[in-house]
Amino acid sequence: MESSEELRQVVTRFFEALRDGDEEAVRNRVSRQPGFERFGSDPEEVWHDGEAAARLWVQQMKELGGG
Amino acid sequence: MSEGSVGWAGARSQMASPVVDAVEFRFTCVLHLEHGEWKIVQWHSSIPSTNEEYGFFLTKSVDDIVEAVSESRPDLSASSAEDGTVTIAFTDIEDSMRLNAFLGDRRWLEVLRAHNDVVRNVTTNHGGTVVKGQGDGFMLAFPSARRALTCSQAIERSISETFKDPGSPVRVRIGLHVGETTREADDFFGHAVNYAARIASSAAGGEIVVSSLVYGLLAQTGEFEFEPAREVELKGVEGLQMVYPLAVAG
Repeated sequence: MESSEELRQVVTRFFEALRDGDEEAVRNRVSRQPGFERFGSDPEEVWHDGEAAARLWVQQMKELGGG
Repeated sequence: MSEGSVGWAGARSQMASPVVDAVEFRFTCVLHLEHGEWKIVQWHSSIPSTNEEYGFFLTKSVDDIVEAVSESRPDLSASSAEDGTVTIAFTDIEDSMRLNAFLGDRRWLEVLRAHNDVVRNVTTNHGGTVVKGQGDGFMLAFPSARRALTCSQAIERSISETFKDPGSPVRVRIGLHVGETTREADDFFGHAVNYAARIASSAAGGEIVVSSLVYGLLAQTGEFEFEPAREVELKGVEGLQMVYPLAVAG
């Protein structure tokens, strides 16, 4: 286990994509492999499908004025 | 951090939206190296405050509006009658902290957006001005008490139609008061605005309540029907005050 500057930049770019409204970059960062999970703060906010989670990220990005 | 084809990260950050100025949140994520690219395979985000604190953040809006307006003293000349009076309306979703907890943050924000659209659109359509909107509360200004009360009725109707599910717990309370801005600016922003907000707080969900000044202006017209007066205590105001509920809100 080691500190990873590469991963720090990957996560930073993901947030920058959300901020800038870069839909493609947001979609491409999310795995579609089985086993994907996303949890929000609300008990109902659970997604097990990467495609659905990616769509939601894009929707939220637009609602928050990304771009 | 990473080890082989698996990595993970976590941090605290902030997000902003048209509804909430800025909310701090935290996240952790797990990433997996897929065909040479790091992909998010697990993500968990949450708001690092208790539900009570978050609910309070979203629902203390009326007090915040009063404070902000009293400090900034916006120009309300466009909403003034010829005699310099302005009718103020405060709107507020009843029991919004509990509603936020009941609905969850995501659904609550959807409700807020729909509610805010109703208040803004109906106010504009009735010639009123949205002085300030924050969280689930609004301060509105009108050049006449009649127009303010007609608009308040329309807001209640539109809220009922927007949240028409019989089980919907969304109920908006509205309070009206009138003050003079031109010669009595100190009194207006120091007292009248706060008084209007307190009258709104004394109303029940779905109810429109007016001050004795507004009642005096409108009761004689016969255009509106009022319930018998109520004696209420208003926070920050000495003595019992007479307020007048509209007979049918809508």
